[in-house]
Amino acid sequence: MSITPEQADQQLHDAAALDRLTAAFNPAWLSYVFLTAAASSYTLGFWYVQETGGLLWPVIATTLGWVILGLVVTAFTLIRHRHNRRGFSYRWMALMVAWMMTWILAPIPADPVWAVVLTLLYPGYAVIGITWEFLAERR
Amino acid sequence: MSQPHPRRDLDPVFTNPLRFSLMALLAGVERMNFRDARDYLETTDSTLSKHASALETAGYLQVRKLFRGKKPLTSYSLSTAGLQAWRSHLAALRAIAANEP
Repeated sequence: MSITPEQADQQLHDAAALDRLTAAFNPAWLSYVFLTAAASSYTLGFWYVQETGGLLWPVIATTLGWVILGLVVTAFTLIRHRHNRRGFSYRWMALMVAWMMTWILAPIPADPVWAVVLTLLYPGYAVIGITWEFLAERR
Repeated sequence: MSQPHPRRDLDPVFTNPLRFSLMALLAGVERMNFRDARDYLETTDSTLSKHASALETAGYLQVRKLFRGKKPLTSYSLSTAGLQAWRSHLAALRAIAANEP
């Protein structure tokens, strides 16, 4: 097979152009943001209720609101988003496991500092996930 | 002893432009359905099928066929060997483009 440096360069450009066609932000990460918002609002709200004896239902209603938004975006993603970038499933599973393990294993603390730390941990996961996806996209 | 010329590392399976484009398209995604691949590559059903089969025979592409009712849904993804071969091919192209001996 004989190929000139100019032809090789052209083929590399063609390959990069085709690769760019499939590069788009995956809206699944938006649903992840809503899920982490649900966990954060529940953690902070439940801590507040524990401390003050306030009403629990606004906390549950807010949490459910975020979860429903997350489910709507998930449904939209499944219908409209056609293909995932390579490695998306791995990144998604890793961040979902982190979210679930924190939700299951971390009790809502009585200490306000730890309550705030736990509240911020969930959006931290969302930031990590979106950044990871963005970096993978640009590689 | 001199290094072999990078053209020797080019994969002859990818010399066909459609196969080259299909590999380039699939390399960045986990899976793509037949219709999207056909539309992106601006080709016909039969041409895409023919070249996808050639890549499948080479062990570079995996074909998944599902059915929604009676309607077949075909999708393509690169195999591990396919991705590896594609990356080696691109590396060889880069070496040639850089005018390495």
